[in-house]
Amino acid sequence: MMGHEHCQRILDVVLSRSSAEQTEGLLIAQDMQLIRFANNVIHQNVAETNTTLTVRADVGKRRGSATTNDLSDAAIERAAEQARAIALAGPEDPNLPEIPSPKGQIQNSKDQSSNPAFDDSTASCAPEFRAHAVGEVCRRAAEAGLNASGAFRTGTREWAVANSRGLRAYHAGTLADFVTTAMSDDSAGRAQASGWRVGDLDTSAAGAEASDKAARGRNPRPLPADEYPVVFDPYVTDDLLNMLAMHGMSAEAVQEGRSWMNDRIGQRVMSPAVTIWDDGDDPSGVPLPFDVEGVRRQRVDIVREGVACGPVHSSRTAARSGDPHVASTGHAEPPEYRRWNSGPIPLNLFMKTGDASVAEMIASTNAILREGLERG
Amino acid sequence: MKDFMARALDMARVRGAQYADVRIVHSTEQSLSVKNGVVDGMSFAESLGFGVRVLVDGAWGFASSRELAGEEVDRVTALAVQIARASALVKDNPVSLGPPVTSQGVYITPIKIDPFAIPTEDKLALLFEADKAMARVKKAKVRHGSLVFLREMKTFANSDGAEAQQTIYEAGGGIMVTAVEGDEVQRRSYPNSAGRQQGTAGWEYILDMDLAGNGERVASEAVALLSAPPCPADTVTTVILGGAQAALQIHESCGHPIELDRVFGSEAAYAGTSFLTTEKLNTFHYGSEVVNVTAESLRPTGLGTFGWDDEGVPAGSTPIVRNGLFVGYLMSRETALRLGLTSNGCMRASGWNRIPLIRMTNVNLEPGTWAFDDLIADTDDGIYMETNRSWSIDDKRLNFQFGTEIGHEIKHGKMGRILKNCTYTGITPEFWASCDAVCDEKNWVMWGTPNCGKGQPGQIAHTGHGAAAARFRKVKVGVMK
Repeated sequence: MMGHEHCQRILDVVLSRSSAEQTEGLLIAQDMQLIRFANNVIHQNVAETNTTLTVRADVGKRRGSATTNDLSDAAIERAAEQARAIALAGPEDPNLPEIPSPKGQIQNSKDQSSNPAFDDSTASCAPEFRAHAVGEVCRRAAEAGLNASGAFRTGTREWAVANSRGLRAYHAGTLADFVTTAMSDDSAGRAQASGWRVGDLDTSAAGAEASDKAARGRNPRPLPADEYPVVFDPYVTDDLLNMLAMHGMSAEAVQEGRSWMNDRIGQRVMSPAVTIWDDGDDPSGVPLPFDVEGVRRQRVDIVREGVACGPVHSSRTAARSGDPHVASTGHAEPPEYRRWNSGPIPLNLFMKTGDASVAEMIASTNAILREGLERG
Repeated sequence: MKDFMARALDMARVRGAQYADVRIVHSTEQSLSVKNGVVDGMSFAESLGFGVRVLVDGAWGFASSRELAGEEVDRVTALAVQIARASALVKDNPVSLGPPVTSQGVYITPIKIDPFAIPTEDKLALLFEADKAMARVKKAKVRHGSLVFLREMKTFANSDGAEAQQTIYEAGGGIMVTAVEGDEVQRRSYPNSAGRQQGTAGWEYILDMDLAGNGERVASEAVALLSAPPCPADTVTTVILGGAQAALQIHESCGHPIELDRVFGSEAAYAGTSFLTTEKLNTFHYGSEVVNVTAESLRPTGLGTFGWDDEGVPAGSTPIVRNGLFVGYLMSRETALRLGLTSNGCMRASGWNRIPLIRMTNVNLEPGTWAFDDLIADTDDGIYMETNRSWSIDDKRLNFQFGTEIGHEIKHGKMGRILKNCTYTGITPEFWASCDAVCDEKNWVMWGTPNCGKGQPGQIAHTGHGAAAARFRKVKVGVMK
């Protein structure tokens, strides 16, 4: 853990050493450990400690960006100068928005002790704890004649933003994910659990759920190609939600005409049973109260009772919209999403529950239950 | 640096490791993109750190950190050992690595022009020139051009006595146009799908692409696709895949299933296993007589070209399919030993903070004998499909469906009108068994796939696939449901 004060000290160096007209520093620190298992044994077990600093520098309507994980004063100064030099090398962008102002944003948000998304036991979770949990899942799968595989990750992430207009934001959170697949020769079952408190994860129950699905799926019969009603289990629905987010919940996708909600905002695009929203503050997911620009994440309704409500924005897409009433919703994409050209993205996404269990849905229709999607 | 690495290896030994290796990696990346005549992003990123991998009690542990300091290397090595001991709580057979690897030397990607020495202004000028060419086509809704340059300096040492240094350069670039009309969205890319072609090369690689010279053509094709007829639905016909699509076909249906860790089940929970199980080695007919696939890490510009892999095993060449027969895997030291073989140097990590996994090097479809024009002339009825648009394949790498950005009807030996929304589907060995022609060296290009995902935590590998256009008979196309 870097801690709030250490992060702010580094960001102060960024702002004091930069000669750009406007400067923004973003620190993302992480301390993660992860076990992978397959064939009922642990085969990979890793740890990573890293902090990256990204400096954005504006000169007039030009912007450059530089990233480093060397946090020495000299390296920070080099990154700040590199960002400014890159900005100067390019032409002006008439639509370039200003770096966000602190007005209405989180100012030096919660520290670690008062943060509702930080759990000490998750932050300090030892390799032996994860190994024992995985060992139990593997042992039970082996006893059932099944082959268990999966991953168990715990760790901490800190986000800190400061800019030359006075914005300051810091957030520390913990993360715990467990996913497992149990397989027989002709069947498989998957289960997962995630959150920010490792104590909330019932890895044993997830292992049992996966094994139960694999056992129930044995001796499958072929299904003729046709159209069927299909019941998706929650993990598949989660995958579909992620795909919807990647391919169209961003204002950038809408502005470029490649979103599923293009020309349909305000119209019914899905069943009235579907309501989807993003809420960066909701602790039942993995909360992150501001985005990489330090802008407070607003709750955004994406689909309400089947009607497309609109996309999420960053300061850049808000400026591009040309509408002075459109502002960033606090969804600027983290650096790792930029390679996918996603644009602004919701990261704490929710879909409203209905009033029937999976079993009830299956009982009410002659449907196929889908418990997993293949990946390319 | 030598002392730092020795300290990690000594500490690992003292704490009980039977094997240890350490990698220090310093990577530098510059990326630039221009969208609709405006700079969309310009960034420069550096990452420096080290990773220590240890084998203790027959089980693996790995820890990594960005801080190259004496106390930190002690902490990280001790953590790697602690993690390995935790792994040993849930293991079966202890890991063995086979003969020691003691590689020594220095490798640098041969480049003509250092891309990091070219001024940013010149790189932007090239992208703006390409943008201007695309903008000549009025209905091109989104014009996108991008460049990326990488330099990775890596030092490796292990407890067997290996010590190797390498500097890998990569250059990538491309343009992409999206055309939109009502609900219809079409895109064209050049030279490769998803906006860029990449290779281990210098600035000269970008100049050879002639992005500006292809801008107007690419934009025109994207717009023409909006009103083009669709690929015939549910039809069985002859398909000729362009080289870039053949490369993607190799990547998904050959490259992934020959990863021996996947065969042994280590990706089961994430990206699947493989149909190429070990009893098939040297007995299974993967494709027709004209199908020859080689995995190698030697050929110029391949994204899988290097001096040594991340276990210190030297670059080399391995036959994978010979005259249709399946004869080889991509292997690590540990997995090769389980087959009584030695590693062919395929362990690669995406950075200092990741463990090496079995990854594709350059998995190439060897050139055949056909001139491209002769192949078209020899095809009475079919579709030429090029540039990947979508892919889907099952978790054994058997049942696939791919889509391409554009298709061209072939009638009586001539290319005809363009077709949109082209898709084809198949079962891997049946599909490759239906391959009756591969084009020759003149049509063969070392394509780059810089976005291959695998592992948890996720790793993006850069892989090479030499390929030429190839013809497949009796392929089901136009499957949209």
